[in-house]
Amino acid sequence: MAKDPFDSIGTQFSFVAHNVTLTCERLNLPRVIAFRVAFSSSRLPIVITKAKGADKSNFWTSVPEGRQQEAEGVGKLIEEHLKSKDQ
Amino acid sequence: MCYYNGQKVTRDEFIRLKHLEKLVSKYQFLNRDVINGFDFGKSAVLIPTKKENGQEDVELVQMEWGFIPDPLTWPFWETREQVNVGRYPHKDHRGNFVEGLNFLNAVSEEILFKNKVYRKAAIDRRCLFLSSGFYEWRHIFPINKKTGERRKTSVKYPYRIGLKDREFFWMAGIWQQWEDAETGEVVDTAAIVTTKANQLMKQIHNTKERQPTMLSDGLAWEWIFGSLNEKRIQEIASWQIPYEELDYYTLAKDFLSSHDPLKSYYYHDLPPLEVPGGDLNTAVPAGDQQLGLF
Repeated sequence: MAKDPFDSIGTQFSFVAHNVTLTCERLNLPRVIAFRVAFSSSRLPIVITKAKGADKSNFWTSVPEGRQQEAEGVGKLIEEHLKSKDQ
Repeated sequence: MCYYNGQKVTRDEFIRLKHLEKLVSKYQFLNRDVINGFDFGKSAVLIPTKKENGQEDVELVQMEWGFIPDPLTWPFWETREQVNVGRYPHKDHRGNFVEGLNFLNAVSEEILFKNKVYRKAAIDRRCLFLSSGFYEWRHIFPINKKTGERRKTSVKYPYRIGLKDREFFWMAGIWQQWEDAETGEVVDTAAIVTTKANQLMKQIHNTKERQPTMLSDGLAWEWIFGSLNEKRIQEIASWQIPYEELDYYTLAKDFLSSHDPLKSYYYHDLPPLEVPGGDLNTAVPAGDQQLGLF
């Protein structure tokens, strides 16, 4: 099985984006990419996961449903953080 | 084809995400450092069940913390909208300001009063709240240096309180199933039973002098499984844990919004608690911070 690219950032990490600290915890669920993210601002914590769209493309979504836009934004920030760590 | 969060996904992916929702809800409700009662969110509650062979068993479930009384005894909350208004300060139909009723805590001394909304639940539906620690604020009234008098506004110091050498413990609770008359939503709701503060808690929660009814394992078992008469229900509900068994430390004043809410915080200006024969301190000084409970 291909190595999960998110394995390299650990189960708990935090970073700052737009002056807000995002504290992320990788949920310990088998074969699932999901993070619980808490914010230093007043924004409520969110759980996001990577899902597969009908067109086979991947997208971030919130679990449970209802915060799609935030999920996409937070997922993008985590990916950017991952890339910056790789460089 | 299905939609999840408005995104087009296959049926298989939809089922996987729905399954993940269940996993996440279970994962989250045991994985939270701080539950604020005024959020009226879900808490982990232990209820008695029976195995097929009739043997006693327990189940850990989620309940809404904030008892919603049976409409037969409390006809004012028949819909979720009424509940949401009634829990917070609001204006009544006459335009008068009224306090909210949150039903988060059931006062043990009154729990069996005939006109109390908790009575039937205390007799028929007792449960246990799972906790790793709870929070109370100690109020210190500074002295006005000019007049020498006590100031009217207090400085509040938050404390986390748990049991020594115990990662988790049980607090007495009672629960009630409630149905929204409008939508048919059915929800299990619960309240934590409180008792008079012991010697230590009197100094921490020094404005109300109350504390949750923290139970020993034996009493916890009896609370949910025992066939109890009213006298015994009253005894257990009012039980006061010995202060020597409590573990506590002070937290930063902004701990509720902190990333690490359980981190201890030492206040140089905070007088120590007075505990006879004990060497119980408020918190370890900064730089030597080690959590007692985790």
